[in-house]
Amino acid sequence: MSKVCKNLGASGSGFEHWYLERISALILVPTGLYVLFGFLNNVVAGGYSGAMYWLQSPLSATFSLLFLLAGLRHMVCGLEIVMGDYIHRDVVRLPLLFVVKFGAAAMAILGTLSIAKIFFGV
Amino acid sequence: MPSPDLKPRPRSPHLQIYKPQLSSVLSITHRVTGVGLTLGLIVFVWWLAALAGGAESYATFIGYAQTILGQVILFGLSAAFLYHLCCGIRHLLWDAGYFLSIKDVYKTGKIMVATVLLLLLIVWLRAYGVSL
Repeated sequence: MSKVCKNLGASGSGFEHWYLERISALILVPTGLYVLFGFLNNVVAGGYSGAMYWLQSPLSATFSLLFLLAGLRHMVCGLEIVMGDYIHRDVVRLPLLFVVKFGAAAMAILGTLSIAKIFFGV
Repeated sequence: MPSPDLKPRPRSPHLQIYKPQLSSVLSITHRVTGVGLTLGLIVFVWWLAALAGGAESYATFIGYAQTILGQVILFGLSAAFLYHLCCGIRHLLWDAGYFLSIKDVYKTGKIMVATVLLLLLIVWLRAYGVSL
């Protein structure tokens, strides 16, 4: 792949962005299905204790964390592309992109700390 | 040389110029659901933080989720999630070089929409306690 994709197009960059969006998508397929069925089987009917029990299993905690982080990275990739297509003024798009990236980082920290707290039961 | 009096030419992705077709409608829906799922991740993190906060904060979250507005939003998010998941798999198959003919684009598009509707039905029957 690297032989043909050397960023030789008009923009001079972009392969890494394209690749990261696909890699995160690949991670999101199994982890997204796992989280969806975990919700349906344990969280919806199980209430607080059912949700705690589900997330305290190492497999569920790992899949949830992977889903969260890959999801946020995929979200930043996608929003960056969509904003690039529809928001033409740099003075609007660039500050908004900063908000998206900063918000994603904050959500990654809050989500990771929450999963850790639930998992270790502190 | 183009005349300076020309009105601005349409810029990508030309939503108002072309007649809607299955291929273009499924494509723009992929984008719209992707942007909408930003709210989905916000709700997911909110759910995690509420659960980490203990039984009381979790009950507050569930209280919001069980309002009619909460259920409508969760239904929309689950539909967007299933659509973006199934259409995303179709995109990954395209990236790998499969189903790229016009005929296959229409065929996989129809299969994908049918799969999404079936999964959405299963998910919400399960969510409301119907055993399958």
